[in-house]
Amino acid sequence: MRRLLRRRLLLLPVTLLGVTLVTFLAIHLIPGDPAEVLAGGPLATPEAVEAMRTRLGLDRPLPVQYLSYLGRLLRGDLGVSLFTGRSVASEIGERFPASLELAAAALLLGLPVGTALGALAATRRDRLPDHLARVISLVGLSLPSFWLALLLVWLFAVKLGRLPFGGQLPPFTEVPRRTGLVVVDTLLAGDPGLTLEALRHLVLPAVTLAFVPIALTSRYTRAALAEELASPHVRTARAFGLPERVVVWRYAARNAMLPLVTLLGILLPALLGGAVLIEVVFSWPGLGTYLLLAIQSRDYAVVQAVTLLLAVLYVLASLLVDLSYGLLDPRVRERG
Amino acid sequence: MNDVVLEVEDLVVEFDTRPPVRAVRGVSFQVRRGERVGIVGESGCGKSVTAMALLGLVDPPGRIVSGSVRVAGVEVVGAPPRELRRLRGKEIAMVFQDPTTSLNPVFRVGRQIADVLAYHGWGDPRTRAARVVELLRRVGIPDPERRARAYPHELSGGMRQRVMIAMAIANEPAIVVADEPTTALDVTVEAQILLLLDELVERSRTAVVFISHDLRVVSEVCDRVLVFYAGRIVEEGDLAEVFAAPRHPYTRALLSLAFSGREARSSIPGAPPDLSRPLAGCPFAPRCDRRAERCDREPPLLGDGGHRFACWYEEAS
Repeated sequence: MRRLLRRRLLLLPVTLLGVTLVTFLAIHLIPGDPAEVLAGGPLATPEAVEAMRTRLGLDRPLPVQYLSYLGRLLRGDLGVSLFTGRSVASEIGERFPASLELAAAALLLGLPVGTALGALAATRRDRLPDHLARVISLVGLSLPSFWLALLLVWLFAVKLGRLPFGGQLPPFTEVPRRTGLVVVDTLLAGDPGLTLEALRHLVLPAVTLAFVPIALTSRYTRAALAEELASPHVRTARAFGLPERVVVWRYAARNAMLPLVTLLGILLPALLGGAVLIEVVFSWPGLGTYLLLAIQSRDYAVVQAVTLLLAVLYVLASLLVDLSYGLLDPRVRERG
Repeated sequence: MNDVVLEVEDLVVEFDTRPPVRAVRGVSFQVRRGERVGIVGESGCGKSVTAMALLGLVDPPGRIVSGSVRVAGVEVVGAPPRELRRLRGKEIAMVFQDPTTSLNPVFRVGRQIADVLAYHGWGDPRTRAARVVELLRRVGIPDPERRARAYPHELSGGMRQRVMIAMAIANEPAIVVADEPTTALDVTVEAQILLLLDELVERSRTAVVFISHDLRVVSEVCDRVLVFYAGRIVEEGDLAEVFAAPRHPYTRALLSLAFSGREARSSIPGAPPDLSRPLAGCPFAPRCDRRAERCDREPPLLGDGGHRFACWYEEAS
């Protein structure tokens, strides 16, 4: 276990270096030029664009740009947004909690629903719950998220008028910012009415986003649990007269959880960064909308910083997954 | 006759595949308290399916079509799940072939044995823990306090099978069914496990149904033997009698294979019949060197008495 941990930690810097290189190259590969945008768009004179490019340091060779980017990164400097002129780190700090709140809500909603659905499907195979789970996961995986978002908005906000949409709070309301998580901040402000409003605003985007974890976890759970239920050790448990609920929920579920943990490691960062379209539809002030704007305006520093952040989250999440494997599976713990 | 702990009557098990396969075709036998009964036969003869049926554990697409299985006087066929659950692991316990996959990899072995005690209402957690250690000691596991906390993968194959046996005898069942319990183990370990089973039975008067394709193994542990062929019992009798004077040609062939010591022939020529079809005559007829015209027409019946066999030829002689 300790050896596993050490190996993974040693590999971490290498992985992260690779990530910086890829994000750096990717942004320079997509067409478009921030200098042109800043100099006034397509109407700008070539001279003005050139001057802007020199000012931004974009005229230097790519390797030089990369190294200076890396150097700043090592000093903890994520750079300055080309357009707002503010530090990217502090802008991310403002945006991140909103995404975190949304991702956490989607996960809190999606995981229990998804696993329950998958477990129902596995224990009642080819019956109604199984078919239902299949349809839901099919919808969750194949419908574009923005379409699902619009559909839910149309139904619950427009048609039924039951839920608000757009932003995190009703217009012209504010809450003193402490954690950045609006639901928590309203609670800290001692305003339960506003907390309720915040939660109501959270419902539609969170439900939309939750379709992904619901779809994935229900499929995973169904497959993993069905496999475990057919395994020899489950047959043993049954042959020794253990009650079916114990057989399913303790003996089989513990083993079936292993692949689910991997899934969780993929899901969390995916939900944090993957909600771009949903954030746009719901005017959610998170990383997704931030990243989209930055890409549109070729705001290199912002795009690099946000992508790097998401990549780091991925890497850390998969590290956590490996470690939790050790806790859940004694065989892995042993081998280290 | 209250001594009978297991009574199987005209058991028929079918698999609802396409075409349906009738794996067990009218099997009847009895096992008395403390008796050690061997079931032998080639793979696919229905011995493992019969074993699972004894616990009412025939998995779909398999199902018990008809017949009766009474364990300690309780009917298993058609019993409600609660009743079955009460029997399994308490009155009748099973030792499976491969202890590597049959134990749950993520729970400590002591816990798995303790669960079997707990769900049959045995004692409280503390006394169960003590009982687990005692059971592990009884099956010959050294340092049982420590081994109780081991995970299955931390034990050798032989140790794991000892754990399975400890689990099987935990509630002092009337019958232990052992389905090829030593097939996955190497020969020296096999001998130890057989010895262990022997000792445990001697001491507790538990009946053992011992299933094996290996007649030599059966000859070491059993008092009585049932020879299965194509889903039927073709010969049954006391071990010594059957081994000394086998009446069914199939038994003879099996015995000569097992004890000839020759490597040249490793199986009986020909193949068992297709169990998805009805059998008109004697199922062994196509492979039999004494086949007569009658053998193809009428199925021979298993006779009565202590030494029973189903063969027209032997009947006549």
